[in-house]
Amino acid sequence: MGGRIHLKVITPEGTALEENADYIRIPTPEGSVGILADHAPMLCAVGEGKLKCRSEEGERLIYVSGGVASVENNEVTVLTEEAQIGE
Amino acid sequence: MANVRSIRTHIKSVESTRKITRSMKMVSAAKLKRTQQAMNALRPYADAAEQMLVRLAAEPAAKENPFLAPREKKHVLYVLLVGNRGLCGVYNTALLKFMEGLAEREERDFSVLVVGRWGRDLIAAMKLPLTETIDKLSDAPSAEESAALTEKLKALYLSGEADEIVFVYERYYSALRQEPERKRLLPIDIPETAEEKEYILEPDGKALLDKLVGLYLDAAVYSLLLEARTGEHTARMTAMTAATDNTEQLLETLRLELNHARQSAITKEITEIVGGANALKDAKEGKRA
Repeated sequence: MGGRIHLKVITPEGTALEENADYIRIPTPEGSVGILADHAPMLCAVGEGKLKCRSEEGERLIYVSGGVASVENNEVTVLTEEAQIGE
Repeated sequence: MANVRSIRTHIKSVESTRKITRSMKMVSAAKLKRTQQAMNALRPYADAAEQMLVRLAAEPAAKENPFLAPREKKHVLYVLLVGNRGLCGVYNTALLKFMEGLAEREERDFSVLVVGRWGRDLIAAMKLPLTETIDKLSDAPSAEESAALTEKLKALYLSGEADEIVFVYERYYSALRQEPERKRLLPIDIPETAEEKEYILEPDGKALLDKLVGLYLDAAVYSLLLEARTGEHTARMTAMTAATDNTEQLLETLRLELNHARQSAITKEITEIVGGANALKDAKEGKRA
C-alpha cells in the first residue's frame, strides 16, 4: 500500500506489520484517534481494539491488545503485546 | 603395554561418552536457535519502548512514577541469572566469581535472588544472603515466564523490600565471548536527551508513563533472560564440540594402541610357538646324538 505515513506495529514476537498509509485510526482507552499525514508529534496510550489503516489501495484492520503509540515525522510506531492482522 | 581387552573396554566407554557429548551439542544448538530468534524478534520492541520512554522522561509526571523516581538506595536486590545445567565451560563459574566480588565490595544491605537450577550447593556454600531460588525457568523462556518474574520484581520494589534491583548475568557479545556483567533494572536509568520537543500526550503523562514503564520493564527483563540463555546454550555448544573433538582424538590414539597390543600379542604367540617347536626339535636331536 502507498501513502505518506509509515506505520509500524511491533510486538515482542517481532514486527507484525509495516506499511505506508494515508490515514490511521488508533483505538485508545478513551475513544479512537485519527491520524493524517503531518500530524503533530504525539504519544498516546493504545487500548484493546481494532487499528485501522487506509490508503488508496484499500483498508486494513489490525487487532491490537493494547500498548503505546508514537507519532512523529509521519512515522507511526505502535507497541502492543499482541497483534492480529485481519483481512 | 596394556592388554587388548582393557583397551577395548576403554574404547567402548570413550565411544559412549562421544555419543553423549554429541547429542548434548545438538540439543544446545536447537535451543540456541530458539532463544536467539526470540532475542532478535524482541529487539525492535525493546528499542522502541526505550525511545518512547526517553521522550517522556522530561515530563513532570516522570518524577511521580514509582519506577522512575530516584529514591534512597538502602537495600539492593541482586538477581543472579545462572544456567540450568553445567557442562558449559566457565559460563556459570565465572558468573559466580563475579557475584562473589560484587558481594565483597557491596557496602549496603543486600540480598540475592537466584534464577536457574545450576550450582545450588555451590551457591549455598558461598554464604550469600539468598532470598529465593527460582529454578523453574525453562531453557527457552517464554514471554509469560518472563512476565511472571517481572511482576515479582516490581512487587518487591513497590513494597520497599528492594530499593534497587540489579541483574547479574553473562552478557552475550558473540558466540565466542560472554562476560559477566551487572545491569540495573530499577529504578530505571533513562539516558539524557538534549532535544526538547513538545508532544501531545493522550490521555495524559501519568497514564502513558504507567503503561509504557510496564511495557519497558517486561521487554527489559525478557531480553536479559533471553540473552543469558543464549549465552548458556552457546557456551555449552562450544564446550560439547570441544569434548566431542577430544574423544575423536582419544579414540584415534586408543585404536593405535589397540593395534600395537594386538600385534605384539600375535608376535609373542608366534615366538612362543616357534620357540616351543625349536625346543622340541632340539630335544629330539639331542636324544639322537
